[in-house]
Amino acid sequence: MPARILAIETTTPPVAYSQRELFDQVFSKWYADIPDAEKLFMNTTVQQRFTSWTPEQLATRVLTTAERVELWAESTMDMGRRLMARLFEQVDKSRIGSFVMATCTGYVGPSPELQLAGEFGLPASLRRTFIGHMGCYAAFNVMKTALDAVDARPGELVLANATEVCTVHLRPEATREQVVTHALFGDASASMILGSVDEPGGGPVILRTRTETVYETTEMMTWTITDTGFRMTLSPYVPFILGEKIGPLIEGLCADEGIALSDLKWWGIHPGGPKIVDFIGKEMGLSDAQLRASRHVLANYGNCSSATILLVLEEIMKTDRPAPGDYGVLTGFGPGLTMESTLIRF
Amino acid sequence: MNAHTIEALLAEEILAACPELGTVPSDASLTGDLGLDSLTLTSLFASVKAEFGHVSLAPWFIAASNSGTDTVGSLAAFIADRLAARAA
Repeated sequence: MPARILAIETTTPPVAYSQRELFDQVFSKWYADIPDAEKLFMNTTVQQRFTSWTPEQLATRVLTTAERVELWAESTMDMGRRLMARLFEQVDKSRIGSFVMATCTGYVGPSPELQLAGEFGLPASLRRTFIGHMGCYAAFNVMKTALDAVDARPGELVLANATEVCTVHLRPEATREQVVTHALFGDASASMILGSVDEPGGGPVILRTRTETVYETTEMMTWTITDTGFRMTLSPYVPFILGEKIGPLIEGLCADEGIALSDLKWWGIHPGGPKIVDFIGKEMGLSDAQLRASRHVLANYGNCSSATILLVLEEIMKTDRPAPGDYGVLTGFGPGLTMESTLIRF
Repeated sequence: MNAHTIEALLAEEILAACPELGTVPSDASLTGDLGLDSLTLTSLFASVKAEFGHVSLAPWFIAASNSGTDTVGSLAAFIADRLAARAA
């Protein structure tokens, strides 16, 4: 059963740093032995990122994982509080029946959605789900869980959130692969309120989702926990794989709904890196206008892991302003390789 | 077209983009030893498509990533196999 997005809000840590500031103050020192580090770093098209650290803090010393997760918890709660305050100005919080939250950048127990629910006085009977460590596509699992909740209890509302504090895991490991991953990631949090399509007030409707896992590619993207932070690996061939696999995924999503690929007017592509957006745009024959929102988010926020696709959705809604009835698709990727997609009718 | 000929074509493409390499050994890793960036890789795979028609390289991407052996020789051998299968 579809679900309607009744509200969407996003936020970041308070301060953004330009890619130039970050490179000059921190990364140029970490990558002093890599001749083309600056070129690799700047080629990502990221212009600025919001970080939960200052460049001065980053350059001081290598923190332990415990210290990093403590910073993650502070930033997660700060962003979560700001989002919930905004959302509860728009909906009656006593109607929230479920709260689902995803992150892959830190863990604490009791988990953040429990702490936030308590602070904001949500019902003790609230159904909570915490989705951990799935990576950049986890917002899709948040949406799928929310759809199931709306389907089961259409009279209730669902609070859905994806929060990532990626920058607490920046580490001075000097390899070309790490230069690229460290040039991409930023911090953000995004929340939605979902309800049944019968809820008054309009808003985009999530019609359905479709998943594709390429099981033989488990080594191509990894996210592991070390003693000095979480460590990502990313094969340079990931964009090429996604470029070849995206067509069948989206064609299947459309076929499930009985619409044509050409009916999709709006595209939100998880901008894991610039090549992913370029390759998918080329493979699917998309215009620059259809790639605008994804590129805008990459340039102005970086890759904020699971929160990113909701930043893109918000950007489409607020800037492109799709007409009621327009179809759009959101698609995201992560370890697996896993490819996720969501069909939306605005 | 055999793997040796394909390998020579690939080496020519790579040297056109990165003349500073001087030589492209068969066992050189594209991303490791040769240090090709995403733009050069994109150009290389586009030239493969232009030269040989559509060849799905996904199986090679997967095998090369998993084994850490994304060598020029392995790419040439893969393309030669695909062309042979297409001709059969």
